[in-house]
Amino acid sequence: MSNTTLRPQDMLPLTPAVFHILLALADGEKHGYGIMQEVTRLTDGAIQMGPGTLYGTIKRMIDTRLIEESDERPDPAMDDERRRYYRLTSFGEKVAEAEAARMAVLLRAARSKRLMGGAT
Amino acid sequence: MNRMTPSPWVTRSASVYRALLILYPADYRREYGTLMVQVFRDVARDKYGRRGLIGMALWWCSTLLDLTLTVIEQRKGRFGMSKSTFKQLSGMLLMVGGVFWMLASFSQLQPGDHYSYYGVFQVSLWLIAPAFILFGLGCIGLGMRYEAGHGTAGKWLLVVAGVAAVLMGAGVALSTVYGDWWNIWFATSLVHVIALTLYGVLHVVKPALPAFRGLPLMAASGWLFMFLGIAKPFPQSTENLLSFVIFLGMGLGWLAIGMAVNRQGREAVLAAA
Repeated sequence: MSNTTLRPQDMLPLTPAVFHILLALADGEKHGYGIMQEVTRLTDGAIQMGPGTLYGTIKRMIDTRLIEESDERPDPAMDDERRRYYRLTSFGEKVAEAEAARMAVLLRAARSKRLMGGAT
Repeated sequence: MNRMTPSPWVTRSASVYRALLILYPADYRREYGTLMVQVFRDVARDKYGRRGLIGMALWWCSTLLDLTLTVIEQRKGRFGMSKSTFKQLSGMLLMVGGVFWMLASFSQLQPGDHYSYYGVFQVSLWLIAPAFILFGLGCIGLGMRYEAGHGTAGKWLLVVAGVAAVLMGAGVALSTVYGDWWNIWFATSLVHVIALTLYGVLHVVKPALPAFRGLPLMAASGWLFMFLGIAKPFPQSTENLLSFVIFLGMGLGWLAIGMAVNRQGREAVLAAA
């Protein structure tokens, strides 16, 4: 699917799996297991993606050009060269920013309604 | 990365997971199969290292659920089937599965003693695996379709029973090639019967199909079959006959559930018209 005519806002809201993968790749490219570990770390262990969800979501994200496969491979001595690495596209980065901004608005609303612990 | 020799549990688990990937569409499997196995093995190694066999068992539970949901997701796109169509089809799947199961009951009788034509035995044996897969998919559809009636617990019990039934079907089919798949068949049949019995009890209290309160319990009568096979309280010929009756009863139960679901679906359509 091409996103040439899509704006980042058109992709919102994202599914949790897509947003988690975008967040995991925000600070650099990672392979599948690296993404899973990062998602688990970012959610304090609350979310452990299965291989099916991970690669099903990665496939959809490549189709919508949110992420792409990286051509660069690490030194084979350092890592398994069969692994594939993924990174954000510039469109993916904009979509992640737009989703984060959307969530920030919701979060502010929840705080103002005193729905969150420690709300001021 | 851990370069140590992995435990045999991890290696075997990865082999079983690799075999289960056959459930995905071929092009998807070619593109991502190796990577999925690699990730499965990495996590399995980590879980086994941290919590031993308990960690592995928990990883398998979440993986099987993940596998079922994502196989449906990948497959339904190919057939152009939406989630609501899949739910609507659940009654039909259970009906066909029930008929298959009733025919499969002849596999419990001894060819020669109860019927002379050996082909009956062969055909009935081949029907077991598709019957399990049809029940399984039907159970998952039923769980999603009647969530408002039997609640979240009912939905998940049926999804677990359904996943286990699909794997039982795969186990039976693969056991014709690899003998040790019978272990998978036994483990998944246990999970299926437990989940279905719990659902049956829940259905008596909180029925999704009020006219057939106790029906799901009838379909859970696999306990009797397992008891006969393990305890062997009767001579072989009596056991065969009882197994035949239990199989027939289970098939009839599924057929009746499928028909009830279908009828309710038609009534809902008429009411909406």
